[in-house]
Amino acid sequence: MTKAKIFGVSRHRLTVDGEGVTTLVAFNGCPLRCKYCLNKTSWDMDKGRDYTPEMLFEEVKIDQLYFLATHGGVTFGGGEPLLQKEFIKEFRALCGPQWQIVVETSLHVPFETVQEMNDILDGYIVDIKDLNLEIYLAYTGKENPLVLKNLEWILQHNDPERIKVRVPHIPEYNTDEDVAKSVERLKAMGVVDIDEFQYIIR
Amino acid sequence: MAKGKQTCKILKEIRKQIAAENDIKLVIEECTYQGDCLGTCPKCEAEVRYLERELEKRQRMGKAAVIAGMAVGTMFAATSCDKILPRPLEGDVPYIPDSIPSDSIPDDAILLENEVMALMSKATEKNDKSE
Repeated sequence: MTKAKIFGVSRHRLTVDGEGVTTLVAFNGCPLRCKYCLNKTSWDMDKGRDYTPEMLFEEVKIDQLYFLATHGGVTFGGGEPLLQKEFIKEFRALCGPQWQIVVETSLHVPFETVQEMNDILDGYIVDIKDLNLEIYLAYTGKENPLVLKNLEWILQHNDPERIKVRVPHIPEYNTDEDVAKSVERLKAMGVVDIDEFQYIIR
Repeated sequence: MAKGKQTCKILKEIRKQIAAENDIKLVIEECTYQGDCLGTCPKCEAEVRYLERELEKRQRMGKAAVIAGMAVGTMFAATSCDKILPRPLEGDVPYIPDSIPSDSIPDDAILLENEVMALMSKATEKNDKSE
C-alpha cells in the first residue's frame, strides 16, 4: 500500500495554486536545502502524518463541488511532490480526470520521473530559484542542470500555458540583474507564464 | 477585508451561481460573525452538502447538472474582493506577511509545523460544537 508523509492540507485556496478553488497538499521530503526555506518541516521525514491516497481522497473530496465548478482541484507541494509519484498516480486514479492536479515543484527530480508523471498532471508551478548554476548551488545546495533538462522537456511536451515558472529575487543570493538574466533565458526556452517576485525576509 | 472573510464571500458566490444555474432554491443568510473566519464554517459546509444533494436529485431525475465553468478570477470583481495574494507552497520565504496553508487553520497556528494537524482537528471540533 502506497503511503506518504503529509504535513499540511489547506483548503479553499483561490486561484493561487492553479485555476479555481484548490486544496494544497504538502508532502514531506525535499532534495533541496534552500537557505530561506519556509517549510523546513518538510525536510524531516519523521514529522507529518502518514496518508494513503485513499485517505487523502476521502479528506479532500469534501470540496469536489468547488473543484468541478471552478476547474480547480488539488495542488501537491511540499517538500518536493514529484518524489511521491506513485502516491499521486494512485490519487489520480481515485479522483478521476475532472480534478485539476498541479504540482508545485523544483523539478529537481530524476528525468524519468518527469516523463512518467507528465500525463498524470494538469499543470506545473516550477520554483526555479535562479538559472545561474553558482547561485542555485549556493542557495539550494544542489546543481541545476537536471532542473533545466526537465524544464525543457515539459515545455516540449505541454502547452506552455500549463507551466508557471516562479523566479524569486533572493536577498543576498541574486541581484536584479541575475533575475533579469534568468527571465530572459526562460523566455528563450519558451516559458510564457513567469511569476517574478521578491522574497521578504522576516 | 480579512482573508478568511474574502474566501467566504467568493465561495458563497460560487454556491449562489451553482444554485442559480441549476434552479436550486438556496437562501443564504447574511453572516453576522464579526471576526475573521477560516473561509468556511459548518453553516457554509451545510450549504455545500445541500447543493450536492439537490444536484444528485436532479441527476436521478434525468436532468443535467451544471457545475462547471465558474471563473473564480471574475468573482473577485463581482464580490468587490481584493485578489487574495498568492502564497508560496514550497521552499523559501514568503513575499507577503503571511504563511503557507492557513485557509483552514486557526490564525494562531504555527503553520506547517508538526502541530498543525492537531490544531486543524481542534478547529474542526470547535466548529462542530458551535454548530
